[in-house]
Amino acid sequence: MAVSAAITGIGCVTALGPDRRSFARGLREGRVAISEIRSFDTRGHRSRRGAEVRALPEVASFGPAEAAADRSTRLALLAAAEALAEAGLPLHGASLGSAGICLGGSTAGMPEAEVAILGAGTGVRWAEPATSEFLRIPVGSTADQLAAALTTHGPVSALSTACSSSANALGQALDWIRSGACDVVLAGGADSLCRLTLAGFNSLGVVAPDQPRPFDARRQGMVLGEGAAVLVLESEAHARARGARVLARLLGHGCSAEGHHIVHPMEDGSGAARAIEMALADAGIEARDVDYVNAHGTATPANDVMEARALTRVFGDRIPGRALPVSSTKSLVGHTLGASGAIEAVACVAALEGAFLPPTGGFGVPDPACDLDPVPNESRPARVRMAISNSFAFGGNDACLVVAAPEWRRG
Amino acid sequence: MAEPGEVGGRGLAVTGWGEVLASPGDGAPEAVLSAFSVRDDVPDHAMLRRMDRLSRLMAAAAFRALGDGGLGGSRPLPGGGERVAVAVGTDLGALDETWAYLERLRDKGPALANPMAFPNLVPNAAAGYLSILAGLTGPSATFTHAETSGEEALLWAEAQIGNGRADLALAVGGEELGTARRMLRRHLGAAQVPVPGEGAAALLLEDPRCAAGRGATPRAWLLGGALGRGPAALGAATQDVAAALRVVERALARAGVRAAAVGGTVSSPAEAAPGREPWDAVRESLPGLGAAEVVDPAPGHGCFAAAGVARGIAACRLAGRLGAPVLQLAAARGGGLAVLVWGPG
Repeated sequence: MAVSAAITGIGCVTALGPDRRSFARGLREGRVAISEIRSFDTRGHRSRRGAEVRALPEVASFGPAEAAADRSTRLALLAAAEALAEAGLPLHGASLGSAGICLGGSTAGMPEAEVAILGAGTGVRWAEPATSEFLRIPVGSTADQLAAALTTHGPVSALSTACSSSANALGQALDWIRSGACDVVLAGGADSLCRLTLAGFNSLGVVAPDQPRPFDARRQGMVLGEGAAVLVLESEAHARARGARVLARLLGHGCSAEGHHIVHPMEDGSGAARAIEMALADAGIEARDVDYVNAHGTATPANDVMEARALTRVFGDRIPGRALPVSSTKSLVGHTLGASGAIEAVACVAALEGAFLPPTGGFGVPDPACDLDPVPNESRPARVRMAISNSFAFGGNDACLVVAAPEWRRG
Repeated sequence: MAEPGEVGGRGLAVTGWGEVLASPGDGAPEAVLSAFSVRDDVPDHAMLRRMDRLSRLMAAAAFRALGDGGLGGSRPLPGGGERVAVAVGTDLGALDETWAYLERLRDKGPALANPMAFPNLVPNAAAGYLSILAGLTGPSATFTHAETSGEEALLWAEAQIGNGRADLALAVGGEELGTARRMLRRHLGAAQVPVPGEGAAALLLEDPRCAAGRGATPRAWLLGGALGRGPAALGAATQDVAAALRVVERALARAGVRAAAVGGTVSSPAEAAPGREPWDAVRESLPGLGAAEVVDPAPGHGCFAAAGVARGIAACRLAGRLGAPVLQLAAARGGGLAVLVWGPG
């Protein structure tokens, strides 16, 4: 039987607010947190909108080095501090020393570094960021800065599998708990808005000019967002021994490669379905056990049809029969890229804890090719005991997480 | 093959490897693959044209490892490819291409940003291309964590087999030596580092029952490993001996190997603060390890993530020559530590 990890603390910073309570409240209200991007000049881009974290709070719990960190790292630090506080674990000291840190991301310090490059005059080759900015470009720098701030000496790992980065980070953290390598792991991801990704996704023609409308016939694509989520995962024995409150359980993780195309998913959904099936098998559960699906749901024409097909492959008639709700919270907080897997795992926990289904914003016209229940625009009360979160990335790097309510028991 | 939590009797079999590493010339300041070609290694030449240089490098090493492991050409893969995991490590990824992308953005404006180049900028582009080229559709992950990226990829690959998700795993590390990398060296003040290089290395790990089933001979064994960290600034490797000792001891315990049984160690200087890693002190302070043969720098040193996998290959070779377990030791800027334990075939 697969071993689960107890989730005992959660931190989440998104455009809906600076903590996980405001995130859950925004999901329940179905609030779309998308507007004009203010943090940098967006002139010339097809879409100039994003789900921005406004008034990023000071990283008050840490020192001056952390306060001066890059935006992605500050997002991660804020989420970690919130998660540790909820878990009743200290920010510093021996009790956290051997904890592991496993983060996923894709932009890291790029928002700061690109300023030097883009700010240089036309024709200047290799405009160079300052040392402090340069060292924060690699994705692993976020995890290293978090580990330094928390003075941990346990394993540190950094994954970058584009939009499935933090889902895979949570998967690796679950492996560390299962293998006994760690009793406690801080896992999740952080990414911030930057010019590089805004231009890149715009150039691919997959960004909506107004707002994302997942599974809607009028959908034109995603809107980028930023944020971070960090979860405290513990071995069940460790959590029990210290009397920690278990918020939810991470039951399983699936990840697979499609081997099809560097950008386009397999149209029949078979690649994505395999990641979902691997996650269910890893969790030791049946498809019928799942009460809610947090979709990858980017609102691009190709992804949403593919995902509907993938879900129908795994869950059969429950998808077109509207018996299994499927929503995309990217419609509310944007596509946070490397952070999205962890943020959407937190959305699943919010659904479990709050007994509601987060809605899909911007929904108005059903698409017959996406024949499912998208929980349109307004959240719904529901008893959710088991949820899955899908993350599908460039390179055909698909991932899926299984999250269960603390009281859920097999059989 | 393997049940969750189980890693065979002796660890995982190493059944093949491949390398595309630049050789430093006498007195040359850098080891650059100036005339490298992957057309002999990779079958799909049309796909190669769409790939960035780093992905091509890694594909070449990967196909060499598959061929070396008896899985070249049209030889069947475990589970038709679904039981083969791909683990990639790269520190800077395609950072030169990212720079070029941003310069075009600056000079020509967002409307002329290049849609063909953008997908190649994500660190997992190489893993995606490998999956497509070789039909490897099992679990896939890419690690970007300074000089231990390759070791993290190796340990994740090991876990995929140990957890029963794959029967075989291809771990690939790659790094290119371009303008961005030279900038990093300058920022680190690391001009004294032994010849910086570029290249890729790949290693095949396999469930021993899978290897036996297809008649592949284990050339070495991955017995275990561990990750950890010591205090360090973002641009420096840790010098904390106690932290390094903890990681070594955890790795040896996982591998079920006594320090006194270790025949050798393979390591490379970190690009940051070279020569100040904790490994010499670890060798001196761990009973029994003092007599171990030391290979430092390992082949491919100065190649970051490529070096991580190349160190593993060097450890396999050394274990075979010594007939004893060998430790692979790595310290990264930012404080990351990785130790792997390899046994002779």
